[in-house]
Amino acid sequence: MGNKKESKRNKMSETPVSRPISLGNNRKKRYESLVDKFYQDVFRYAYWLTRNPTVAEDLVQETFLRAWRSFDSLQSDDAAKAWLFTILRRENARMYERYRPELVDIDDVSIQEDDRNEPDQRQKLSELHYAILQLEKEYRDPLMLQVVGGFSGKEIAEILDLNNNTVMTRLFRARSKLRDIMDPGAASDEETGDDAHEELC
Amino acid sequence: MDDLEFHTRAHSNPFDEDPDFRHALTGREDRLRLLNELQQLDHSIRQINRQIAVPARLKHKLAPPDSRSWLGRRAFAFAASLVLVAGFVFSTMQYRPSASELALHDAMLEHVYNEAPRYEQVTAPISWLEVETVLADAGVSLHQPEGDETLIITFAKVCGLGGTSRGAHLVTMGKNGPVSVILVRSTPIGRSLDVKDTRFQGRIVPSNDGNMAVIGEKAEELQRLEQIISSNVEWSI
Repeated sequence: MGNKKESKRNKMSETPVSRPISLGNNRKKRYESLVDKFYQDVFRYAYWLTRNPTVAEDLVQETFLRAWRSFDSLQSDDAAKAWLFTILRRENARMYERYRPELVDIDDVSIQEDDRNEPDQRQKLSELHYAILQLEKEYRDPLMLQVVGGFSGKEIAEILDLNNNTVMTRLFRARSKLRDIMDPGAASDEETGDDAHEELC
Repeated sequence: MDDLEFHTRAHSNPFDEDPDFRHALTGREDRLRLLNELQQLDHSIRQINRQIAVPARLKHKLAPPDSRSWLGRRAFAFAASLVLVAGFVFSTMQYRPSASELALHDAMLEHVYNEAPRYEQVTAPISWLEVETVLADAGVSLHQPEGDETLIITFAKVCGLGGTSRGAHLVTMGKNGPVSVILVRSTPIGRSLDVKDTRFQGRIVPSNDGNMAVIGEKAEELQRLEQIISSNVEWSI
């Protein structure tokens, strides 16, 4: 068990492992290609985590700076996105979570109105936004990694350092709760978190 | 596959392509309906995600450190010194907000999002007496300005902000939609704090014994309203 965790950590580690360092321009080009491909996804995930665009932007810059410094520990380009998200989560915990513990459970995300949507659809998206906001972090986190990050259950398990069954259970509960908040009764046989819709005024 | 297993797997991954899962849909309208609903939920979450605006210059800021300069090392060092000096001067004006200030920012913004569906439905002015009652409950008073500056309030509620502070939430109509004025009797923040969001914009301003936020839609001009409120607000002892 211990060895399994250890090998998991090595795979995502920021500390360079025994891979030979790529040289000069090749390294730079690889890094720039990584930025080009993932910076938007990384920013949006940071925004979900911090719900503040300014803080998210700082976090993304710090994440890519760390990624550049430890770029040679990235063993495969296929693992790049999960590797970046892992660094991001670690940086978020290091830089912000311990200073803002009161925000851990009330993370928010804001959406930009899309004029192409009908008013009804805008309203539904807005309600869904609140419903996601109301989800406990332990459910919201794997859900966003799956839906927004496009990660498989196994990848999410590695990023969150959980076992696969736990991840699948949390995904199941996340969607059950969302369905119940959006349409009470539709998922009445699931755990629903009835107190999740508390109003402030 | 029994219903319970199907239900669990559909909720865990509505895009499960395993043959046994796909096979379990055959001839089952109820299962297809559930799956379509769950897939639509995922599409909507992705849609919300795509609407989060990525800062225009972010990609440029992520360039590797050694490729940022075109001036050469000496020129770069000189430029870096200038940046440091400018940064110091700039930091006195745009300092990094503290954790409690960020928490207040988030609580204000969250509150506006929560209340928007309610205040957007009302456009008729309410009486100033009603406004005063709400303000008094939150430990603050506001003199109704006269002439051009008279405030027309369409919504007034005492609100909990971040679960800890009690404040008055007023709404007046701007040129581009409703504008929220939130007055919270709490420790004033160190400096004014911009509220920036993909939908809303505004400012939180320290004001004697409390904080005042004026938050409107992206294109709204808020400076004048901020000045009017600022010069007419009084905090109760």
